[in-house]
Formats: sequence, C-alpha cells, structure tokens
Amino acid sequence: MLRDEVSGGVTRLIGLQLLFTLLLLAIVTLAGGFYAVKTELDHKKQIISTRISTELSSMVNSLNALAESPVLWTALTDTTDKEAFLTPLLQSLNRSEAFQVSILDYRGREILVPQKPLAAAADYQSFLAQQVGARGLSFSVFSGSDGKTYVGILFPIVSPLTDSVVGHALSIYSLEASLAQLRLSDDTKVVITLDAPVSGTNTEIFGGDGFWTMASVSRDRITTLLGDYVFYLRVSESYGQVVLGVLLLLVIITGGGLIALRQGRRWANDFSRRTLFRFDQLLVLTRQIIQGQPVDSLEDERGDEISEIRQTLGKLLTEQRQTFELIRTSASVFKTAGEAIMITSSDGRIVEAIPL
Amino acid sequence: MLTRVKKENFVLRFWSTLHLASQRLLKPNLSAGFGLFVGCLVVGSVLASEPVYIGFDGAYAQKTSTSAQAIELGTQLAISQINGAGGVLNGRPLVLVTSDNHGIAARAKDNFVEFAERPDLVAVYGGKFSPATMQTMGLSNELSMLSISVWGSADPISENPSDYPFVYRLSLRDQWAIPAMMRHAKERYKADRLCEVMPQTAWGRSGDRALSANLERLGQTVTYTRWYNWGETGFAEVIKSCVRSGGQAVILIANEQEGAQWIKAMSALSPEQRVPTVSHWGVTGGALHEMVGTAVNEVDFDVIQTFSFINNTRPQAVALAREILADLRFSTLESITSPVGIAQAFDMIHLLAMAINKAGSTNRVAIQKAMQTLGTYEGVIRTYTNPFSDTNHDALTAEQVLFVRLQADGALFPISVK
Repeated sequence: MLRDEVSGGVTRLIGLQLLFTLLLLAIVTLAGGFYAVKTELDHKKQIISTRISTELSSMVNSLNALAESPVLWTALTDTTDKEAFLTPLLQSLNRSEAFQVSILDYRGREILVPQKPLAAAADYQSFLAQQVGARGLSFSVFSGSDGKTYVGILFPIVSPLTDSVVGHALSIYSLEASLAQLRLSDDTKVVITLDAPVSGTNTEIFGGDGFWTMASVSRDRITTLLGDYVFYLRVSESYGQVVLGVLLLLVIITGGGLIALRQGRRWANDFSRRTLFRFDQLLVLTRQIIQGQPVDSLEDERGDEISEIRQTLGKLLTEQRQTFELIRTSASVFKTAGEAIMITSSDGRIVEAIPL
Repeated sequence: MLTRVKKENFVLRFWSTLHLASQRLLKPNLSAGFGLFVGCLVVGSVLASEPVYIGFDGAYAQKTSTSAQAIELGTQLAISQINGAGGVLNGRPLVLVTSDNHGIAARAKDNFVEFAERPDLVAVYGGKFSPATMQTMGLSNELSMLSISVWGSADPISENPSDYPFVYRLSLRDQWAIPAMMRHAKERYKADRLCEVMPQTAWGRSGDRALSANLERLGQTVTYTRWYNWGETGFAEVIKSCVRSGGQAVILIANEQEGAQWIKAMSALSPEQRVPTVSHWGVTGGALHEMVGTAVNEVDFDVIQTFSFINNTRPQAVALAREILADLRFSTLESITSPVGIAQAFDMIHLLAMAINKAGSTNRVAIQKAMQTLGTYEGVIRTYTNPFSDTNHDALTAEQVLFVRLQADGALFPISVK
C-alpha cells in the first residue's frame, strides 16, 4: 500500500512535469511558428515592395526622360515614317520583361506599340478613357483578360513648342512578370492597389484568402523625379503547411510524452519497490520477532535511516534478551538458591542476583 | 473640347469677318462697335443666304508661330473681297472656320475629319507644317474633301495628283525651292561645298531628297549633314563641325525656334567661325526677330520666299498691302509678318471661289473637277492661268522664288533691294 502510494505519487510528479513541459513546448512551438511565418511574410513583403517601388520609379523616370526627348516631340508632330524613329527608341526602352512602353497620340490612340504587348489593348481602354486629357502622371491598376495584374502609367507628353499635349507615353507593368524573378512560392499572393484598403495597414492572421492565411498590408512609396506616389501592397501567404508541421510536432511530442509517462510509471514502480524493499525486509523481520521466530542478523551497513532502524531494533532485541536472561536468572535464584548476593543500583533496583 | 473650341473660333471668326468687312467699307476711325453694326447691315443681304464654309486647320497654339494668323488674315481679306462682291454661287457668303492642330499631325487628321462632316464646307486649308497636311492626304480621297496647302513645301503633298486628286498647293515646293537655295548659296556666297541641317520630319526628308538630287547638276557637294529634332539647341557645335568639314554655306531647313537658336549660335562665334546660311522659309512663319534681336545683323542669313510686299509694284499686291495697312495691326509694309502666308492664302481663296462658282454647287467632287479648269486669275503673287491640271496641283513655280534678309525689326527685305 505504501508502495502504491509512493509509486502513484512519483508517477503524478512525473506526469505533472511532463504535462508542464509539453505545454511549454506547445506554446513555444506555436509562438515560434507564428513568429517565423510572420517574419518570413514581412521579409517577403519588404522584398516585393522594394522591387515594385524600384521598378515603378525606374519606369516613371524613364517615361519622364522620354517625354523630355526632342526625338519624341518631333516624332509626335510628324507621324510619317514614325517607325524609323520611334521603333529604335522604344526598343531601347522595352528591354525588360516586366514592363513595356507604348506611344499614343494626344487622344490616347496607339501610334506605336510593342510587337508582343504584355497586356491586351482592351484591358486598359477604360484607364485611357478616364485619364487621357489629364495633366500629369496617371496610375492605374487593372486586371488583364489573362487574369494577371498590371499597373498602367500614362504620361502626357507636352511639347515646349506648344505647351500642349502632343501624345502620351503609356507604360504597362506586369506584376506577375516582375515577381516571377523573385521565385515566390505558389501560395504567396500579392495584391497592389492605389486606394487604401478598408482593413487598413496591418497584419491579418486569418486573412481573407483562407482560414490558414496570414496577410500583411503596407503603405509604400514610389519615389520619382516628379515626386512621390503612394501604393498599397498586400502580401498574403498560407501558413497551413506550417500549422500542419506544428501539429505534427505536437503530436510527436505528446506521443513522446505518453511514452515517457509510461516509462515514468514503470520507473516509479521500480523506484518504490527498490526504495521500499529493505523496509519490507524490516517489516518481515519485525513480524518474525513479534512471532518469536528466529531472525537473521539485523546488521545493515548502508548507514541510512532503515539501517539505523534495523540497528536500533537489533539493539533493542539484544537488550531485551539480556534483560530476559537476567530476569530468568533472578527468578531461578529466587526459586532455587538459599543464599545469593543481590546487586542493586543506587535507587535500590536489583541489577544482578548471584547465587552462592 | 475641340468642338467647343471650334465653335468659339467659328463665332469669333464670323464676327471678325463682319468687322473686317466693315473696316474695308468704312473709315478706319469709326468706332469698332459702330463699324461692326454698319458692317452687319452692309453684308447682311449676303449673309442672309446659306454660307459656304472653308476650313483652316492651323498651328495656332505654337507659341512663336505667326503663320496661322497670317494665313487667316489673307483668307479673311479674300473672303471679305469676295463677299463684298456678292459672295459665291449667286449670293452665298464664304465663311472661314478654323481649328487648331498645334502643329501635330494626329490633331490635323482629326480636325480634317470633323471639317469633312460639316455640310457645305468645301475645302480645308493646311498651314506651315507639311507633315500635318500630309496626314490628311489619304483622308482627302476617302472623304472627297479638298485639302489645300498654302504654306507646306514638302514634295509628297503634290507630287502625285493622280493618287491624291483632292490635294492642291499654292506654296513653295522643295523640288524647286531647294535647288533655288543651292543656287543662291553658289551665286551669292560662292559655295560649292554645302552643309545641310534639317529636321527629322517629312519636311526635312523632302528637302534632303531635293538637295541630293541636284548636287551633281549644280556642281556642289555636301560636306556635313546634321539631322535635328524639334526643340534641340546647341547648334554651335553643328556650325563648328560644318566649318571643320570645309562647308562654305549651310542649307538650313528650320522653323523660327530652331532658326533663332541657329542665329544666336552663329552670332556668338567669331567671324572666321561663321558660315553663311540659306534658310528655308519656316523661320519666317514666326516671330524670329523677337527671339534673336540684333544678333541677326551679325550673320549672313538669307531666307527663301515666294512673295514680298516690299518694293512690289504688282497692282494686286499693292492693293492688298493697302488693305492690310488699313487694318491697324500693321503700320508699315515692313512690319507685316509672314507675308507669304497672307499672299498665298489670299490668292488661293480667290482661286477656290472661282472653282466653287464654276462647279455651281458646294459638291466637293464638282469643285475638284472645276479646279482643273479655272481659267485666268490675276493674283497678288502671279497671274494664274489654269494653274491646276490633272498632272499638276502646284499653283506656283520656281519663277516666284526670291530671297530676303531678316532685319532686327522683323522686316524681310528682298536681297536684291538691300
């Protein structure tokens, strides 16, 4: 019974310790997983934002340089043989796979466009319809018929000879083509807008693209020679895989914990049996002593508490035997001897009786 | 937007016509309002009939250009004369409608289409910018609309009348203007080695072709060629390169802005670094003298023209000059800006009025046919006898060529009288 109590107590102790460790591990794993996902998402967003800002800034600066080019002013006032002059100019600009420049006339109609345009003309017609005639740079984000996202930049070209718009430079920037070079994972979704999102700029743990999706929204700038322009970037990424990994890890840890608990219980039993074995021996010896059965030596050299009990018990048993012998001798003296010498203690108690 | 401007322009030009007519008929010192009122009464009977419209698509927005205004003035003067004499088609007044192409070919094309949609608009004038006129040539066929250049000189405008039967010109033509400039350089400056400086436009390419075609015949060579774009500056290096190449004179094709840069660059060089310049007439289509000031006195800068009011004894030219001076805008013959624009537009309106009357209607095809058999008209530039035919749509010839020198006050003095 005592053994069960000790075994149970030790098992509970081990179980509690395991539970606490498991909980701690689970919390650390979840927090670590969340932190890793968020850090990686923020890092990705930073890279994406930098790339988009840099490319759009570069585009605007290129368009600005183009708009200041006398070659373009001349070509737009005289569209005869335009290919001979504008084509090399456009070719030098359209080397990137991510963006292309087209030249439009003062009403936004095509004068010269790349042979393989990134976006279909129909995709940005509404943008042109809204922005042609406006002074200054215009931005638009639109979805192409191919489902891809494009940023359109319309730059009116004003000839200093007339102070009027002689044409437009239209740049189409393909978000997908640009980000393809970053080799992002398939579940990374990037959304660019020019208007502030309703949700504001923050991190959404459970984003709108799925339950296990984290999204990070930020306000970024395009810094150009003409001034700064603002866009909003939303990068979302599914962390379902990470959650699965964490859950798997937790299952493994729990399994390990259960095994450890089982082993702990076994160990606790062994421990209690091992610890209480001498106590049991002592109990058997005591029972034998009580029953008057002969006992083996009570000597125990271990020097612990049980040894001390055994030694004490042995000493008691020896003293008891001596006392018993003395009493039996005294009784025999009183019973058989005529004369005997009685030795008493100072308080008058008979210590020894010696027959004569 | 364009429609609104056009309407405003139309109203403005309409009342301008009335005002001009009243000034022709009344003393100039009458108040403008009274003149206008009386003018309305005088021409009222004519205007009561349905007008016949003539469109003019000019580069009004070009800040330094005076060509559009000159063409408009010449047109309005001719229209006033014709309307004062009873109009066309038995009493119908001619009315000018203008639009602004900013010197841009794409705008010129759109404006041409809008003009063509207007009933009773019989012809569209094109201005100084040859590329703008050239853009409308195909449309003239499609829309059966007369396209008449009264300042453009690029050869393609009139070199294929059979391909573009509705396109006419009363202006210089590079085919003979450029050789005239080359001859002028040879005779006046003993220049056998030429430099050519021209814009990257259809006009520049037309001039280049004409120059190349005549080098051998005139015994001249080109030592340096430079193509430039509108708005370019820094011609000093071009001039130095020309001199280094051994060039003795420059054939310059330019408008007033590049012409001004050229003169400033030339005058800033030391005399031994300078080279005489024979310039195409685009420079006189703007306020060149205002941009260069007295720098023009430092350089040899001759400009080709087809007409000058100065020392012109032709009665029609004298009469036109008198009319112009009656308008308070100009005080002397020398102060009349862009005279070729005025004279060429003036003569062309009269020729067109003859064609309208000959056609007997505002049917554009009929008017085009009538243009081929006009008969004789005594114009301010020349006497036109059947100026247009199936094979020739140019009303002027090399005989009308003269050269002038720009003065610091803007006067364009014929070189022979300097």
